[in-house]
Amino acid sequence: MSRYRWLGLALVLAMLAAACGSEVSTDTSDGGTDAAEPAEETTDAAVDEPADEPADEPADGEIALRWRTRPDNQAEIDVYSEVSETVDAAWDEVSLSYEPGGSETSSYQDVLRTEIAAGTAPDVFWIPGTDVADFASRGLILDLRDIAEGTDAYAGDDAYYSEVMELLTVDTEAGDNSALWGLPRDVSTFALYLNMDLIAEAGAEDPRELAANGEWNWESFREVAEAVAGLDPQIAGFGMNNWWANPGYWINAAGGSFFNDDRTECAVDSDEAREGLEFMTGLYQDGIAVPYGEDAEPPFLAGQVGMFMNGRWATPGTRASATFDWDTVKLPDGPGGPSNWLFWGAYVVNANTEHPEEAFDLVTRLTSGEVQGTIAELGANIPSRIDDPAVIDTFLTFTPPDNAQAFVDGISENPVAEGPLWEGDWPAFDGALAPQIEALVAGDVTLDEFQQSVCGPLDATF
Amino acid sequence: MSTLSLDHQPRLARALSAPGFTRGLAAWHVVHGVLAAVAAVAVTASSTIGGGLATGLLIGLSAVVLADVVAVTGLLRRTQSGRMAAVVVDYLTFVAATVVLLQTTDVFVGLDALGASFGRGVPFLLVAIAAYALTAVEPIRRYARWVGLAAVAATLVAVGLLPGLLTFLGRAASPTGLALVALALISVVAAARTSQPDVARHLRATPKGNASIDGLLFVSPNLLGFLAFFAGPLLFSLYVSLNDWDAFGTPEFIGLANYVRIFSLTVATAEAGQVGSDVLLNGYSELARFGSVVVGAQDPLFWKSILNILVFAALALPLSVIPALFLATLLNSNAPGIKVFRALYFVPSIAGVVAVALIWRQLFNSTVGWINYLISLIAGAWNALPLLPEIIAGQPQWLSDNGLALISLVIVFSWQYVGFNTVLFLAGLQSVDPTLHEAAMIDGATRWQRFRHITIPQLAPTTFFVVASTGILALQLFGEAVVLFPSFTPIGSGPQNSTLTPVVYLYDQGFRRFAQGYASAVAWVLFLLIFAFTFVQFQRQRAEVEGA
Repeated sequence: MSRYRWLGLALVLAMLAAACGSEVSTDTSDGGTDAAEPAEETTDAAVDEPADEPADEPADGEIALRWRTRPDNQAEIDVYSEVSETVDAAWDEVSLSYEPGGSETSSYQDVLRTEIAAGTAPDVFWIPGTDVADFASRGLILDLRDIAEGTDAYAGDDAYYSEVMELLTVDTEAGDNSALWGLPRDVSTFALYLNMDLIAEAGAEDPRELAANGEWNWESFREVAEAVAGLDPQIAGFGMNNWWANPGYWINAAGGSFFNDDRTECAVDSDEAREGLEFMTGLYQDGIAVPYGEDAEPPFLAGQVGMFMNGRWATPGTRASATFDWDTVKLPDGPGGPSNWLFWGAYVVNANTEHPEEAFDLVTRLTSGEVQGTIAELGANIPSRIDDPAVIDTFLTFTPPDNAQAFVDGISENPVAEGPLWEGDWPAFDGALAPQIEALVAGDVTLDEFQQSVCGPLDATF
Repeated sequence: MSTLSLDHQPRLARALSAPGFTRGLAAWHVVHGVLAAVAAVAVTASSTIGGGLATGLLIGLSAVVLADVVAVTGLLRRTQSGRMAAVVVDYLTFVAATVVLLQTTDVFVGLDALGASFGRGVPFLLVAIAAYALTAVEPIRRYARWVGLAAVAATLVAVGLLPGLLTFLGRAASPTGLALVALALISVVAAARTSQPDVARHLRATPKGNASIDGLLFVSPNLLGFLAFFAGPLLFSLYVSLNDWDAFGTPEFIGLANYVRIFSLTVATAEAGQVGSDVLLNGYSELARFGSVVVGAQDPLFWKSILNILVFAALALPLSVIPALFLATLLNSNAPGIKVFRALYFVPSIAGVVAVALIWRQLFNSTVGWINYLISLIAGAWNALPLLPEIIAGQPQWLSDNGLALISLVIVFSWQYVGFNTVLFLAGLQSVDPTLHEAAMIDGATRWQRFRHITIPQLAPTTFFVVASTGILALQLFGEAVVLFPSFTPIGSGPQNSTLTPVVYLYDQGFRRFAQGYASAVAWVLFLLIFAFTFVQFQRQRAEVEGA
């Protein structure tokens, strides 16, 4: 073997040895070894770490906890990192490590589930409301009720929106609401993002004024959309993305629902649901809307869509990219009255955590009024606490949009909480419903055929 | 003292001699086999190790015991099989002990984090590279070498070699660590000594036996990687496909039930206006309807994915291969700047699937995409011409029309792979004997006749490789669909499941629905489909060769 090959081999071995000294190699939070690592094993790298960054290395006697959220953008990552540092600094017994998860489109939940299966998932993580039943029924997250009752840190179920807590406390075995699967991180609702330049150019009435006068309904909504779409074949009056919640709004606002009252059967074949879908389908088949299935956000940001239905999470992107005059307005009232979704996600505790009490303590700290206020300043979502009105005020001061109240109003207008399907398989339900709605919008099936056949495959998912 | 020393020396020499070493090696393998047997008993008695892991460990440990028996017997009888078994067992023991040692000392985890501290060593590394380059300059060769070595040392110090070494030694100093170090050292020394000529002669090694051991050692890195990261998971997925398992709990063995569900089909007759669920057996959903005949399946989505991928492959394969052949013919010249064109056509092949698909997603957007804009420009230019009928530019919904979505995928796939196939054909063209063309030209063959009767037959091996590899890639389509259709449910399935491919479907089943057993069964069915496709290609290739 030549000298250079020996040198190369020595270099590889030296790199392996150096790997032992890297920061994560001494992180024992999930490795099953002692959480309290001997101080002499702290590496130069850890010592060199800037003071303003969270330390991965727990100090002597500290418990290391890892937590994760699904941020929508870098601004959210920065805010959650700051929150983690603040909580960490005020908590002597625990060392926190924040891990921003991937975005919605990079399969946040898939990665998380795989990490849980591999035993490497964080102690505390955020999941969307629709996933809570799946995680709980598989035994992946802890029922926190007993821990909550043994601590003063928990503000109580009443401190959060009741629609959310009703779904987050289901105990399927006991048949009541005695469990506690986590605490909501934040909530959000839909609103219509308005391109005011296009609406003014089309000579349509201002939706905000119509809403203020109580005249903002499906009829006036369609008039505005038609007027804007009439400006140019390249311009659409309305746009929304292909996601269960979007057709869900039209169904709910017409007085229908995805499920029956106890969420054990499909109800998409009701006459109310049919009415809602008929109105929605008309927007597409009459050429008023961005084609269903196309991402409507790029054309909206390019100034070619009059009204774009989306949640508060779209605000940072709109602020960054929109070059036109824009604002928001509440969703129009349907035949069944006002309606909206109450979107939410929850911080839950990994069933395999070695420190359940501390993990729950972390959940309460992450949902405290102070932390919610910090996050509300970002304006991406509405705080989940209802026992601190000042936090909502903080959220409202974040402008544009000037009419941030549109999102808050959505909460009080007969919202349907995004919900886990405790008696069914939500991914299967979603997967079976979506292509049927796509076929209806495309005109491949009639409303009669849709109504007749839609619930067959959906009922099979319960 | 001198007497003792004199007595001791022959004893040591005897022990290290080939016969002495062989006896020692046999004893070592007795110990090794007993330890493996004890470990197998411990696994059987363990309450914490169960399911597939316990089965796998028992199979592995039983194989080790068997190999040790073969080694001991063979060594005592001085046979080549004993030597071979001893070398293989010792080598594998060395590898396993080293891997477990690195795992228990968190070196693999640390490698992940090395990236964070590696940046501190980069400046020194650059100096080392520069110094190495300067060793080519004779007057400063010696100084450059020392500077380079110093820079390498500084790099290692900067990335944390010293604390790393201390940490490693601290962790390896545990009883488990020391035992693993001892096991690794004994095994590697035993394997190395067994390979030496005097031991080989003593064990009556044949040249063929020596060549076998050398060959196995040479291929061992690749072979071990293949077994650990391909064959192992493949067999594991076969086991999982026979279970109902969500990746979290204990697998429940259900035999072939997953495969039965995949292939279950039924037929019924229905009157006009009657929905499939009214006439089909319970548990079946309508898959297709031919007049009054309704075909039902227990899993219609699987069949939809198979149909989609067959249509996709039927379109994408010729569009990725035939243009590549003609492009290669055009590029097979020495025209000025031809290398630039070759590079340009190859660029899509080296771009990542996600990057390519993201760009195409923007291009395909029906409202603000460039393709529809281009169509409108062309229509405008056409309409500006006199005496021509006016045309209206359509606005195809590339990503939301279920009749077009699969075509969009075909376009992206073909665009991505046509360049790579062009390079392969180009290599094939350049190996065609030019005298064949010269002879044909003298005989008066036209350009097309030469292409048809010389170039295409001569390219048969290349064509086989291109068709087989592109076909396999097409049947495994996943990334392009997921990135082009991220908002559909399941992700990548496109409007009305029109782009649902088997891999997209099994990903959804395995990682969204967490039906790992069912997803594995789908994967095996896809494997058989790809195997059949490749087998047919091989048969055709063989028939052509034999026919020639």
